[in-house]
Amino acid sequence: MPADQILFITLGLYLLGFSGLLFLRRNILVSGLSMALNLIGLGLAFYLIQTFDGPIAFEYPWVSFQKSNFSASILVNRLTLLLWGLVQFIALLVQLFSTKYMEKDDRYGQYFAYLNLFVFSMLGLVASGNLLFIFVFWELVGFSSYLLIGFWYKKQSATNASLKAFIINRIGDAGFLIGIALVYVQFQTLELTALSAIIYEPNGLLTLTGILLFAGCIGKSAQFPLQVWLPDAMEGPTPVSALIHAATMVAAGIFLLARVNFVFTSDAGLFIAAIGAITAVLAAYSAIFQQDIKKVLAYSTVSQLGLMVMAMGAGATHAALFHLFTHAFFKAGLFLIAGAIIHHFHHEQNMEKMGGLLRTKPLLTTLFIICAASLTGLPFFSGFLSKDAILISTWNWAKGSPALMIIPILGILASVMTGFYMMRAFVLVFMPRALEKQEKSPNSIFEWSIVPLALCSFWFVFGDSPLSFETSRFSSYFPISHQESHWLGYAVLCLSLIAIVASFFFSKREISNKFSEQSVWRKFGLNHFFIDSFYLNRIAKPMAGQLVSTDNEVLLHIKGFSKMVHRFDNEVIDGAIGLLSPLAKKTAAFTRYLDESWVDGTVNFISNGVRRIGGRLKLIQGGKIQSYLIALVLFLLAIMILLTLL
Amino acid sequence: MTAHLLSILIFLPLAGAAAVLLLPETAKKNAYRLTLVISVIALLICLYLYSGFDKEAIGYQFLEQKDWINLELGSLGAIHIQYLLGLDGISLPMVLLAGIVFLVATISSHSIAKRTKAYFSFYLLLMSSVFGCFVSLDFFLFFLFFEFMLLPMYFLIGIWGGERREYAAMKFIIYTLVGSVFILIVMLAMGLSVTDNPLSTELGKNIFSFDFRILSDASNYISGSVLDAKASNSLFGWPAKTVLFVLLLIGFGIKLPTVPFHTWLPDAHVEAPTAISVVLAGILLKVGGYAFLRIGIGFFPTEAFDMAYVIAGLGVLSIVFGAFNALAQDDLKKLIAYSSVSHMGFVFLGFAAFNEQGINGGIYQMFSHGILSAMLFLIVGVVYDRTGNRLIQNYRGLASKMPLFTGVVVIAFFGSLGLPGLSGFIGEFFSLLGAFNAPTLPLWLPSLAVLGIILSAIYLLWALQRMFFGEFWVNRSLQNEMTDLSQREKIMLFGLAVLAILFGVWPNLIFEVSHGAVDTFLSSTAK
Repeated sequence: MPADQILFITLGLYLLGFSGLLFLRRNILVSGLSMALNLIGLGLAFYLIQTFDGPIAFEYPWVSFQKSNFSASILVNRLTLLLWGLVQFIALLVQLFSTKYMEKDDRYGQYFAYLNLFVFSMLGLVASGNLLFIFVFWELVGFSSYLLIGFWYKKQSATNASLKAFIINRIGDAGFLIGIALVYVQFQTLELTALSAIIYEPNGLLTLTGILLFAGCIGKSAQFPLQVWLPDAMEGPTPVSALIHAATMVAAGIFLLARVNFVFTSDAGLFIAAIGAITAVLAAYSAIFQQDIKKVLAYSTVSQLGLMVMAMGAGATHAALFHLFTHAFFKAGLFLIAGAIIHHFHHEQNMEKMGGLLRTKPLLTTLFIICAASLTGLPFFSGFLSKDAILISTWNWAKGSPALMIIPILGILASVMTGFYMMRAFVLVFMPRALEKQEKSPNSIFEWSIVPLALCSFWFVFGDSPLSFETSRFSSYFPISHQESHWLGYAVLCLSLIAIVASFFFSKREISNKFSEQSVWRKFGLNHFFIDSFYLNRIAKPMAGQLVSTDNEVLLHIKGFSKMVHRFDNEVIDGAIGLLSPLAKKTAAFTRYLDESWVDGTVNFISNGVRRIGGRLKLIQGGKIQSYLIALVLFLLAIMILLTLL
Repeated sequence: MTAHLLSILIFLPLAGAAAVLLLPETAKKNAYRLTLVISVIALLICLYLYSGFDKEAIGYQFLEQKDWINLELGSLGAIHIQYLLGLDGISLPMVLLAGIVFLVATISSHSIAKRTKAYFSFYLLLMSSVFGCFVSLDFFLFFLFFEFMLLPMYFLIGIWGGERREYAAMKFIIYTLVGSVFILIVMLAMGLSVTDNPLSTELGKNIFSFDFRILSDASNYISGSVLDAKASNSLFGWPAKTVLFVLLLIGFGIKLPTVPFHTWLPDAHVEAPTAISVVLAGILLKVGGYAFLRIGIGFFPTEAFDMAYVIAGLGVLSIVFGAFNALAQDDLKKLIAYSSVSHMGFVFLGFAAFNEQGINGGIYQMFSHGILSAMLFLIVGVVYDRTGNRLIQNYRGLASKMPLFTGVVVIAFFGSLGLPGLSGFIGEFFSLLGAFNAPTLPLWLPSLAVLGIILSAIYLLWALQRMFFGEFWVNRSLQNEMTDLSQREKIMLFGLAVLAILFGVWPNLIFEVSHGAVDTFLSSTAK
């Protein structure tokens, strides 16, 4: 079967899943159908990967003008297939987990429908062969995320979170859109195959284009300064967090960077690496102080994404992709474990109230240790290989320029902190406490859906050597060139181990006596440097006023910039038009005055004059014969005098 | 009969308007039924025109030509006005949209109870005039229909509207009439500056004509007249042609509407009854855009090209200013009215690009906005019909009680903010791409327009979240009957939703009709 047919069938299956499941009611029917579709898709994906022998591109006419046209194109290369299989694999496990996690929800069908919509959009994104369709599916992925984060829409915090996620993503997408337009302006094409064949001359506009395309990644992959939506997105059901906000959707940004990496100039790369490093460190620090277990994992995700972005900026594309791949497994695993933990503690998410799972749920503990160790980057786990690849590649990129070295140092710092917060989470959640006794509960679907993910967190899936990433199986498809400075990997390992041990003792103390709440370090970490409240109070509120208030009763005042604009519209623009009305009336009154007193007045004046003259003249007709005789005599005299004179 | 389809499209509703008045008062429900039948027939005619349209041909199709007014001016010549109708790729999408919008608005007019006959009579008169505007190819005839649209709207808003209906109706008609005066000036100046060349040489004297095809051909301009580019006519120091173009810009800009000539729109929309708001936003605004393209840019291409940054600037100003205003609204209907102002800004932006992506994008934006804003105003109508109140803060969590309605609202709102897969994205994307790709426009101008995309997401999704999600609550002072969609509402809203999705995934349905005409348009107006 040709590749494009497989792609279309798979996409069609998930689209069918979305529209069909939206209205189904019976839980068994819903989950059975959904997972069947997923299995078929996964099977087809394996077949595609087996029969792949080189990049394929297809173009289908979509919009055609006289001189230009825009096609719906597909590009299938190794990068595509990597994510094509990854997304469906993790989606399958998440769906399995969800069958139990969401079983009591009465919108079960809608949940699985939205999951299918998400997989459809994500697969469309990775298969797209031009920037237009990448954008199309990019937005659709954001839409699915909106639906899933706000799934429990009756909860105010959930709908707020989904709105926030969409808007912040939109800001990134706006930059992305401008970047796409700039690509078109410079190269008159949006097709990836054509764009990758151009020899690029670095100039300012090209750097700007690269940075704008990266803006999409800043939004979608939660980089600084748009990372604030991801911790809030934890309001969604935990399986959703596992699928979307750990493994796949947020990885879309990294995918984009890999897809268009030929466009980035070295200046753009520097900017990207810097943003990645900053994000990684800020998020890792905040993860240390969080109380909610999902928030720890959320900040951890932001931090890991920062590391991937940093590697991308440093030109180590394949190293970043390697980490994307390994991270998907252990992070999804960690989130599902968190879901199982939350379920076990009856929907309690605060780690302070947990503890003792080491005794009651040994399998879960083991799975957690495996995934956490991989995240921390301990040897014999997959994370060690990929994290080393990133850190060493970035170090080698920055070598030689002291200023540039800050970037990999920040990355190392973030990696070391990873060990710290993961151990803290372990201690708080799993170590026994002197509190209530808990009964053991049997292992369920929860645990079994996590096992495959944990297994993939070991080194053996990726290569024969647990220590060297250049010879890993991943590297045979996405070559990572041999790197020097392997000592760095071991140095970071030592620092991480120190951090882990330190965290063990710190966290035990945290349980026994609460640390001072007033500590500045703690405050900055817990509130993620107040970035979020800055946006809320200094940007959102002044711009839109009551936009962010959600009280039930009627609100009378909308303060803020938008209200100012509206007042300008109402009072100045409309006011100017409104002035025309009294102006017209005054003109009319003036005209009336002119007409009545001047025009009409003249007419009246003439008629009055005539009347007065007439009035005077009529006095001649006195009726007295004597006056007529006198007049007659006077008149005759006058005529005779005149006649003698002439 | 197919040769006279366009005349049927105009005169059938006109005849219907007269027939409705002749109905006995006891049978006034028949007024609705008659109008519904006529709307369906009109839509069928539009679909037939669409399917019978030859996409490869150049020039106007379905032509109907009859001599109408012939005014002898002695030695000066004669004025020759024709009854001239025709369709090309630019007007066909508009005619199709008119058919769709009028049918939907008719269905929505079902509940008009007072003075039903008068309502439907005016409504059919409006329908006739709008179709006439889009198909007439004689400037005089076009102007006739253009003016004729205003009268029924004045009554429809002024009698069947909301609380401040008289103010809104008066504002609407006077404001638009001022614009029409400007257009009239231009029409006279143009008509008396062209000569119908083949006919003139045949008869030996000047034949002044208002035919669009003659007006767009510069070889027909009388030398020394106002239109002649070589003559140095000027008005107040500005070249005469520029003044004429600016007059057209203002006149049609009032209709579009563009900031700063838009302030009649929020009042007219808010006070008009639901069905009339649908017609106003769905199709009446498009007359402005279409006419500006055909007449403004079509007959004054040089001036339009020189002033491209002004047109684009007005477009971007509308986009951003309209969006900020929408953000500040409490009344859902006013929010959507301002969002209309904002979305029509993309039309000006696309046209100012003077390339095929921009102009095709602008036309598509008009088409898509017609469908989406019809949906949006129907949505407001659904809420208003149940409680009589449109303030956003009075509602909460409607999704629990009205799930189907919420689904439709999600489609309409996301379509309006430009989610790919729905029609709004296509119009906005290609207008923007054209604007970025335009040689005349600086890059920062369309970049500002992208800001509008963020803002539209903010105000629409805020309203969505505020009204539909969360715990169910309706302000105590309102009647609390929040039932889900009725059968009639379902038909209208689902139908429009299907169209929004259809034109979002298959844009070539419109583009293959319009791109030929746009190409002809561009090459004939090329410098």
